[in-house]
Formats: sequence, C-alpha cells, structure tokens
Amino acid sequence: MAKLYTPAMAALDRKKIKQKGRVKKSSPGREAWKRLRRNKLAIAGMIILIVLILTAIFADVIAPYGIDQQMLRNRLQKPSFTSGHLMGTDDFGRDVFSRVVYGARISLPIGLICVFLAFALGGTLGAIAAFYGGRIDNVIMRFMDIFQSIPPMLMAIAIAASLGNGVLNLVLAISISTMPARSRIVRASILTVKRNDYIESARAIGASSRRQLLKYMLPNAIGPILTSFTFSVATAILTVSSLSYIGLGISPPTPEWGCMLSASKELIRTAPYTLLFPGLMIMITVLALNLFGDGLRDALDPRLK
Amino acid sequence: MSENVLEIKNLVVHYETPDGVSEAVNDVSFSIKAGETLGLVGETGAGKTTIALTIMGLLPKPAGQVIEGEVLLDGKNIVETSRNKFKQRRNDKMMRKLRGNDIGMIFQDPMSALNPVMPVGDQIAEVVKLHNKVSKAEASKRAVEMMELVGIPGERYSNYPHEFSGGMKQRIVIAMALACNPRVLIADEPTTALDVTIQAQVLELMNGLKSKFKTALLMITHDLGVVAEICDKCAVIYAGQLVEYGTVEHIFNNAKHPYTMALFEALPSLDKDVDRLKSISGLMSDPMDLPSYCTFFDRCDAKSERCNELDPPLTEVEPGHFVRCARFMKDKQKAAVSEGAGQGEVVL
Repeated sequence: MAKLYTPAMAALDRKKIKQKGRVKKSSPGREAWKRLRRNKLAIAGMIILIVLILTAIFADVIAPYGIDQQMLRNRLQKPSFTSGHLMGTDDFGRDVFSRVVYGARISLPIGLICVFLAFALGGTLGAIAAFYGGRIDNVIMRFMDIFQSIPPMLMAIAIAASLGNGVLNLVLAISISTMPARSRIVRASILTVKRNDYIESARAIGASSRRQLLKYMLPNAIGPILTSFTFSVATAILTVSSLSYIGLGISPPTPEWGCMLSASKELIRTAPYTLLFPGLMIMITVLALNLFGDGLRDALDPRLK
Repeated sequence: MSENVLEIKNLVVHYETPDGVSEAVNDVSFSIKAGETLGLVGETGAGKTTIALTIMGLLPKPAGQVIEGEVLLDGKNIVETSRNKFKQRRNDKMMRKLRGNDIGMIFQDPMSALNPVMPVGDQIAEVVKLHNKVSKAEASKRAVEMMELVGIPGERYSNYPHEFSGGMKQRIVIAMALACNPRVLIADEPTTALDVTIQAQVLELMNGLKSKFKTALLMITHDLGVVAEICDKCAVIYAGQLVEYGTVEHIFNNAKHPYTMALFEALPSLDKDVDRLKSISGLMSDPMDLPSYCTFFDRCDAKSERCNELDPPLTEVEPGHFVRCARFMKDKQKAAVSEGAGQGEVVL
C-alpha cells in the first residue's frame, strides 16, 4: 500500500522540525509572560503604554509645532484635520496637539521617578523591617505609621508648598508622601516568603543576610511589588497633575497635562477642547497602567497556576 | 581508631518563650567519626531537629539558647553558650563560613527546600561560589559534576525546581549539601517526604556518597528501617534525652530501654503474624514541664514503684552500649543518685 502523504501532514512535519531546533524552556518569568499574553486587556494596556512611551521619545518628530510657538493670528482654533491643528489651539495660539505630545515627556518620567524613589526609600525600609523583625521592625513601622496618619495628598501639598515650585520638589513631595504605603507592600511580600524552607536552606549553605534578602526573598516576593509598582505610577501621574492643577507642581509654560488643564480652565465654556485633550491623555495613561497592572497581578499570582 | 569529626558533649538547649522555658535538649552527648553514620531516632518533638539546628547554628533567635555543652567540629567548639550579643554575633559570623562548607544539611521536604526562581544548577554553584574563590565558570563546572554524581544529567543545569520530581529535587538538595565536601552532613528526615521506592534510591545514593567523601553523617529519622539500612551507630532520643545509645547491632539485637523495645514492638514484622501492632500509650512529657524523675515513667511498661523518685543516668551495659533506665543502674550510681535526691534508701 502506498503511503499517504497529505499537505497537512507535510505541514505538521515542518512544524516538528522547527520545534526541535527551539530549546523548550520554562522559567517562572516566562510562565508569567505566557499567562499575561493570554489577557487581552492587559496586552491592550501594554500596547497603549508602549505607544505613549514612543510618543515621549519621538516627541520632536511627531509634534508639528514647538511647545511655546505662538501663532497669535490662529488663537482658539477648533480641532480639525484641515487647519493643521489636530487638537486646536489655545488662547495663546499654541498648538494643543504638540503640547500634549511633549507633555508625555514630562508626565511619564515624573510618574516613574516618583514611584521609583518611593520604592527605593520605602521598599528598602520595609524589606529591612521584614527581614530583621522584632524591635527593628517595630521602630521602622511605627515611624511609617506616623507618616501614614497624614493624608498623602495633604502631605504632598505641604511638602510642595514648603519647598516651592519645581520638578525636583514635586518628585520629592510625591515620593515622600507615598513612601509608607510602598514600604508596607514590600514588607508584607517579604514576610510571606520569609518563612519558606528555601530561605532556611539558603542560611544552611552560609548565605549572608544581604544575599538571602536580595537573591532569595526579593525575587520570590516580586509579584505583588511589581503589580503595585504599575498602579503606583498611575496614581503618581494623577497626583502630579492634581498638584500642577492647584498650582503647586509644574508652572504654566511647561506643557504638563495637569498644568495645561489648570492654565485653560477659564476657557472651559468657550473652548472646551483645550481641556479635553490633556484630560483625555491623563485618563488614557492611567487606564492603560491600571489595565496592565491588573493583568500583571493575575499573571504573577501563583494561586491561579 | 580515627578521630571524631563531630562530637557533642552535654548539650542543653532551651527555648525561652513568653509562656515559659521549653527544655528541648537535656544533656545529650554523642560523637561521629569520618565516614560513619549515626542515626538519631525519636518521635516528633523529642528534640532531634533542635540538635541539628544547634549544630548548624540556626536555632531560631532569640528564643533558642544553648544553655551549656559543646559541639566540637574537628575538636573545635562551635556553639556559643554566652548570652552576650557580641559573642553571639562573632559566633554567627564564624558559623556562616562553616555552613555549607564544613557542615552540609539536607532538609526534610525537597519540594520546598529549593528556591523556585533560581535554576537548580545555579543553586548548586551558589554554594561553591560562597565558600571558594572560584570563577563563575568553575563553580558551574563543579555544579554540573555534582549533578552528574547524584544521577541528574548536566543538561538540566538551567531547569527550574518545578520541572523536577520530588526524588530528583532531593538529589539536587543532596548535591548542594555535598558540593563543598563538608566534614559533616546532617540529614533531617531526608526520606520522609518521598515514596518508598525513591526512598531506597536516595538512601543508597547518600550511603555511597558518604563513603566516597568520608563524610560524617548525622541521620535524623523516625524510621527504624532507615537506621537499619545505613547507620553504624544509633541514638534513641526521648524528651530531649538520650535514652539508649550504641551500635546498630546493640540497638536492634539487644535493645534494653523500655522505650526502644516499645518502638520495635510498634513495627510490623514479616516473621511474626500479628493482628494488631502495639502502640505506646500516652503522650511524651511536656518539655515545658519535665518531671524530676524518669521522663518515660508515665508510659513505661517495666516501671517499678521507685522509678518516679529517681532520674537515672546513662549507664554502660556493655562496651559502647548505654541505657538510661533505673533497671540497669549500677549500685554505685544508685547510691549517688539517691543521695543527690536527698533520699535515704533506694531498693530496686
């Protein structure tokens, strides 16, 4: 009997050959990525974030006008494709689209840096508190309690007001006011993995405290920390915008989104589009971060495995 | 006769908790020579793991405290009985160098003893790197060697623990423990979490490696079958005390202490046709509240009315075979004990 060999079988064979060349690997990180990839909303959030980051990087290529290029003859133009002002112009005749694009260069990095600093400060303290426990834990965490008894927004306003305007002061204000919450997250995640046998076995092979903490506890506790990192960036961006809106953050000529909202709030009846687009950008960014964070949490949560 | 690699002398360990002091280990002494295996047998809560942790210097702080006694590694004391923080810290620092290098430990549950986010090969290489000044490549090479030695192909170096079965994980744990050629290997119930066929493989592997590396092996177990399989000497521990200590032949063929005998009666036997296995009634004395007399008194079948008045010392019944039971006390000891207890006459 002649052997049947259909195109479908041939395709299968080709696939087999292809797979042979690939080394099958499965690390916890890869597994998490596999799960994340299945979550469509998270991927949507991730794509939006990537677009936003690219926008920030290539702002000067994308934006047709400069951030403070005034075209006084074209003040308060409505958004249209034909006039060349995709999102209209504001009361100084500046192109809103260009300013929104450049705004990504300010809001995204500031949000990231704020959270990074908050985690660097609070996270280190939280990790130390969880690792050593006892009196050290008590002292650090009571200190954080005192910090946390002041509403973070109020504290940020107080710090920003006392330090004065400026990007650096704003970053400091937000990082310090959110630090206690971050330290709690890191402390809690370290505590959940601290009692595991592999920590004991790390001690049994003579690993130092620092090594135990950095190589054994932190990588195992990274899930909740990463998730809260993304959510925190969203909150930080909102806080930056809020502070700028009340005039405590970044001052007007800078095209920060919150700042743009604040500068054109008198125009809300006559030219609402000057507020609409910066507001939309804040919303989209925060939404994308939250979607991605949600997906990340599901992907990293081993209980779903 | 070769030197004792590990010697434990009159070790007393307490856990000091807010609810009171738990006397976990009371006056335990034993020794192991190079290439020799000592089985430490006892029921849950008898103090086996506490002894292991004391040797490793891993007693939970601040509750665990060595009250007195010595643990000699090649003749050098490695426990700190002082409560002085600085002395303890200095001892900790020294112990960190010994752990993994001179003393290796195999844990009970291989499923959870490996770091889930680190490739297994790296975990073995980590031990080598921590204790030797070697390059990354050399450490990895050693790790591959160790993996091959315990029967796991070196290609699986970069696999993660979740990709291995329980028996294979235990092999990796063994490879980790032996990677630096330790003088002493402590195995804390290494086969408890494994099924019987894998148990046999793991035991055989440990036995082979032990003789190859000339390691002194402290085997902690509650399985007398394991003791018979690979141990040279056996120490039976009850409520933190050694109740019987001798060679495996002494313990298996000539058990003297009522507790040891009861343990053997609780084992199913192939030769005898028994419907019901005998169990030891009652519970072990609470280590928070140990009696001043023989700790086994309440559960003993062979007790006499005087047993609740004296605390018998370890007595040598034949060369190298020690028993802690009033029935085997020598006359001289009887007098000493009764005097110490402040009682006039003890007649047994």
